[in-house]
Parts: sequence; structure tokens; C-alpha cells
Amino acid sequence: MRVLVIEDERRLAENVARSLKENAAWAVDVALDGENGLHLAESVNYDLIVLDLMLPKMDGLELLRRYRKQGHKTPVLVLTARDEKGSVVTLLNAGADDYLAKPFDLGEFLARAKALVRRAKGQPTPLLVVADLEVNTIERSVRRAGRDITLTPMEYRVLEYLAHRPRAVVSKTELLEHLYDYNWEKFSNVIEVYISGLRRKIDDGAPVKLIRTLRGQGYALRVEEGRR
Amino acid sequence: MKRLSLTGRLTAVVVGAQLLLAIGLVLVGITFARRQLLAAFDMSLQGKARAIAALVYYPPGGKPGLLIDDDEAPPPFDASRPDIYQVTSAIRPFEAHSKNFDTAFLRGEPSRGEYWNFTSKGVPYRGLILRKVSIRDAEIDTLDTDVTVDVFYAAPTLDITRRANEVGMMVAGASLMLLVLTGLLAAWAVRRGLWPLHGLAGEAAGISVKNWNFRPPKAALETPELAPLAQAIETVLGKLELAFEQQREFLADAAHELKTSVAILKSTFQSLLQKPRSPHEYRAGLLDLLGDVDRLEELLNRMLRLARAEQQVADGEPRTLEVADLASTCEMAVARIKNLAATRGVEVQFSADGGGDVRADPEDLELVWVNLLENAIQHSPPSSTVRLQLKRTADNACISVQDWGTGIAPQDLPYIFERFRRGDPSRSRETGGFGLGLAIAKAIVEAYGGTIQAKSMQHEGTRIWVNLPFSKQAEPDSSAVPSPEPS
Repeated sequence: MRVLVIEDERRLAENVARSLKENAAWAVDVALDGENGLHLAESVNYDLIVLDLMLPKMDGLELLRRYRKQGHKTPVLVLTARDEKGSVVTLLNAGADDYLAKPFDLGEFLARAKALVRRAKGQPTPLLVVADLEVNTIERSVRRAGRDITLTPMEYRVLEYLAHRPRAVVSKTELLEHLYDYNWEKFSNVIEVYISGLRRKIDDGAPVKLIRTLRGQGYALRVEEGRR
Repeated sequence: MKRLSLTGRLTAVVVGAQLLLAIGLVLVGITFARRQLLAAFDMSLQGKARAIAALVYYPPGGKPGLLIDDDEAPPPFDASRPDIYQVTSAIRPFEAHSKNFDTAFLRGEPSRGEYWNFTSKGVPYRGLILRKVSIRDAEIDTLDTDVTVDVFYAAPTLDITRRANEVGMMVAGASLMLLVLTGLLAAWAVRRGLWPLHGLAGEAAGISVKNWNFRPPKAALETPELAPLAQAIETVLGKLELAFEQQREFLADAAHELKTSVAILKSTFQSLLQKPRSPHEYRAGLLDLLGDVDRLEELLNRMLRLARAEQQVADGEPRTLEVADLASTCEMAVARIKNLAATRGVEVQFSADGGGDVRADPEDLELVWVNLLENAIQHSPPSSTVRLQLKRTADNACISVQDWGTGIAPQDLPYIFERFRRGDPSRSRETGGFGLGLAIAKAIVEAYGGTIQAKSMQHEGTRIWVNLPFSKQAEPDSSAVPSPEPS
């Protein structure tokens, strides 16, 4: 997952980004003003946008309206220091999906962020289940047929992304876009390394293979039809 | 003591005036009626005297003396108090009088031919003497002009007094009725006249911190006495609303900044506790926290400084008798800003074209220059220059700060002196600003009776200048010691 944090308080942006990286193992980009934030939001397909309201150069509400007008469906979690009822209603009506009043609890922030991402992808619970594979997005643990599987952080990221949308074919480009933020060096062949690692840990010795490679299209996490 | 209501007072004035008028009317009425009645009485008195004279006749057969036919005397005004008369003649021996006559009565005559008053047995009488009234002999039918009689006639005046008093009573009664009527009318009219005041009060009572709408009733605005009051209330409420809104805004802004600062602190703590960390990471986290607390402290200091300066503006009194040397406050400010300028790679130049003293707390002025310089440096590209200039005009000191930086967008220029100003890139913490520096500068300058202005060209730079009046006690060239105030 990849998140954009638009927040002009650099220290707050740093803390939010750090907790998203450490706790959720997500890729995080930070924008310190509204203009830069809108530019990033428009150019990258994020899984979640965390938006402060009072921003230099462009107000957060204005940014939100423009972003939604362009038809983007990415969930937006607003951070606001003003908690009057009227402004909350305005926010939600402008296309925000949730809001948190400053000062907020980092644990609550993470839970809400995860819930927003989950719901946007059609998953009702933090426990993602594909056949006998279970991905717990709270503990970041993986089990297959009751057996614990230990993954590297990057392998987990790939699996979590695939598990949020089981059966869908995810291209390598999409994976690259959603797993790395701007601070990472991108090597496309690295994805293949993670996939083969996952296949070894999850599918080896299992009667049913879950990780599928569709040549020229990408990857999917699903039970192969007809071979059950 | 509770004072009488307006209605009560005005009604009392009206009724009092009416009462005086009524008393006057009664007195005039009695006097006038009495005079009229007396005139009529006097006329009839004369008539009756002549009638008595007509009863005198010559005795038949040329006998001497005269006779009177007093059976035919005119009827009295009042049967219980008969009239008094006496007829005498100087030419022939003759004297006749009524039963109740007394010669003492005649002594009261003031002068010949005049009426006079006297009393007989406690009854007031009025009388007169008609002299030399000719008598006629009916039988001979010749007019003996030689023989005349003098007639004294008097009648009781009790009736006149009674009737005059009756007139007085009538006037008094009518006046009293009118008095009650006008009193009621006055009370009603005053109450009705004051009605717009009730409307005004009702409208004013509706004012609260949530509703500043004050629409003086039309009736109040059209009443000359109430219009100034209604307008004054409107003006005062307008000012109060503005002040209240400013306070509310300040509070909201301050709360926003404080919440943000607390949010930073809290998130730093929580992210530090998110998982077990190495001693090195904890140390780095603690240093971050210290930085966050320093920032919070700085924010509080600036907010309090701003509040104090704005209070000074509101109080409108020069708070200090200190005298500040402008040039030295500028030098101090330049020294204080040196570190920031060096970090940003900006050179600060200071030039003074004749110094001067102003009546102000030197620390306040220093803070103004520091804030202006800080703002200029934050907007300056590296290796550029910021210029602080001190100039003198006739009775003003002009201090300006010029930078050749990014400049301010025209739409933002009017708001740069507002606290927590938005849309300013310097609010992003890259430059460490809170958007309070210029607001503080403005408040302090205004507290000392000065003005602050800004001019900016985008991508070319900004110039902010302050005009401060030289204090009268501290002449620009004086040795900075104010002459002692005469006590």
C-alpha cells in the first residue's frame, strides 16, 4: 500500500509517515503544502491520502474538492484542528471519507487508515482469507492451513496488496506503484524475486497453488479453477 | 430612593400646572362675578333710593313740611334682612326713616355720592346717599324745583357674596373635572409617546453573543429624542461585535496552533512507543520531543506577546516613560538576527541616516525590528541581502526593511499583518514561522502611535516600513534625558 500525507507541520508529517511505515509497512510520500500535495495526488494512484486542512498555498478543503472533481476514488482521511460540527459536515460532503481531530491518538489513526484502505478494496475485516491462506493485517502475520509463515517485510507488502484484491490480476507496474514511495530505488526485477520468495514459502508443498503468474499481464492470488 | 417614572413625572407636571391654572381661574371668577354683581346691586340701590324719594309729597292745603307714603316702599332684596332708608329735607322740616335706621350708619360715607359698606347687627350692608332729589306733587302737578330731599338707602350684601362664591365653586368644580381628565390624558399620551423606547429596549434585549442583529424600530429612529440613542446603541454594538469576533478568531487560531503543537508532541511519543527501540533511537526521539516542546514554548511566548501588544493598543496609553535610541535598538536587532541570517546565507546591512530618540520601551522596538528582519530573511534566497534603514523626516522616524526575495502575491499583501496568516509559505515549518511575527510588530508599532506599511513586487522583493513619531520630551538631538515633568 502507498499513502500520501499532506501536512505542513513537518514534525507531524514525519511522525505520521513513520508510524505508517513501521506499523502498517506501507510506503509513504509526504507533501508539505497544498499545491505539491495535489500534484502528487494527481500523478500517483495512492491507496490512501491523509490530508491536513490548513495548508500553505492551497487550502485542504479546496484540494479535496479539486481532487474529487477529477473522479479519483482514493479514500481521504482528514486531520483537522477545528472540530466544529459544521466544518465536519462540509468536509464529509466535499468527499472526505473520515476525519480525526488534532491532537489524535496514533493508534486510532492507524486503525482508521487501515479500515479506509480495507473498505476501499471491498474487504470487511482486517483478516484477509484466500482459500486456506490467512493474512492478518493487524499483526502482520501470515498462516496457511494453520501453519505460521515468516515473510520478509517486502514479501509481506506484496502479499498484503494481492490479498486485498483476491482473484484480480495485478500488473508489475501496479505493484511497483503501490509498494514503493519516492524515496526508494525501483528495480522492476526485484518484484520477481519477492514473488518467487512468496511462492516458495506459501505454495511449496501445498496441494493447491495460490500465487499465479499470468505471462505479460501480472500476478494474481487465487485458487486455480478446475484443478481443485 | 426610587425615582418616579417618566410617565409619573410628566403627568405630575401637567396636573400641577392645571391646578395652578384652576386656582387662578377660581380667584378671577369670584372677583369678576363679585364686581359684576356689585355693579348691578349699586344700580338697583340707586333705583330704590329714587323710588323712596318718589314717595315724598307735599301735605295738602299748603301745609308746611312734607309727607311720605312709606307703605309703598320698594320690596327688600331679602325679607328677613329689610333694607334701611332715611329721607331728609333741608328746605322743609322733614325726616322719615325705616325702623332699623341708625344715624351711626351715615358716618361711614367716604365722600359725597359714593357707596360704602357697613354692618348692622352683624349683617353686611351697602349703602349710598342721593342728594337733592326733586320731589313732585301729584295733586298740584307743579314741579317745585326748590324743594329737594336727601335719600339714604342701604341693602344687605350677603346675597352678593353668596352668589360670587357660587360662581367660584362652579369654576372650581369644572376645573377639577378637567384636571382629572387632562391628568389621565397626559398619562396616556406620555405612555404612548414613550412606546418607541419599549421597542428599542426589546430589540436591545435580543442582543447576545450569538445574535448581534440590532435593528432599531422605525418609530424610535423617527423620534428626534430617541434617534441618537438608537444610533449610539447601533454603533456601540457594531464595535463590540467586531471586538468580540476578533477575540473569537484569536481564540480559534490560538486553539488551532496549540492543538497542532500538542498533536506533534503526542504523535512523537506514540510513534516512539510503537515498538521496542534501541537506546540510540530513544535518545533521538527524546531530542525530537525536546525540539517539539521548545517550539510549543516559543508559540506560547509569541501568542502572549501579541496579546499584550494588542491590549496596549486597546488601552491606548503610552505605557512607558522610557526613551529608546532608535539606532542602538536597530543594532541590537541586527546582532540578534545574525545567526539566522548566517544559517540562511543572507547578509544583513544596516544604515542610519541620522538617529533619534522615541518614547518607547527599547526591548519592544528591538522585537519589532527582529520580527521584520526575520520575515525578510525567511523570504530571501541564499546569498542575497536584507537592508535595514533608519531615516528621519520632520517629526517622524522611518525604519524600513527591504529584501530582494520571493515577494508577496498581491492577493496576500493586505493580510500579511494578520495573526496566523494563511497562504504564507513561511508558515510551513521549514522556516520556523508561526505567522505571528508581523502581527506582533504591527501591534507594538500601533501601541506607540506609529504606522506600519508594506509594498511588494512578486519575485523582486518586499519593503516594509515603520513610521514612529519622535516624542516631544525626547528631541532627536537631546542627550536622551527627558526634562523632569512639572508636578
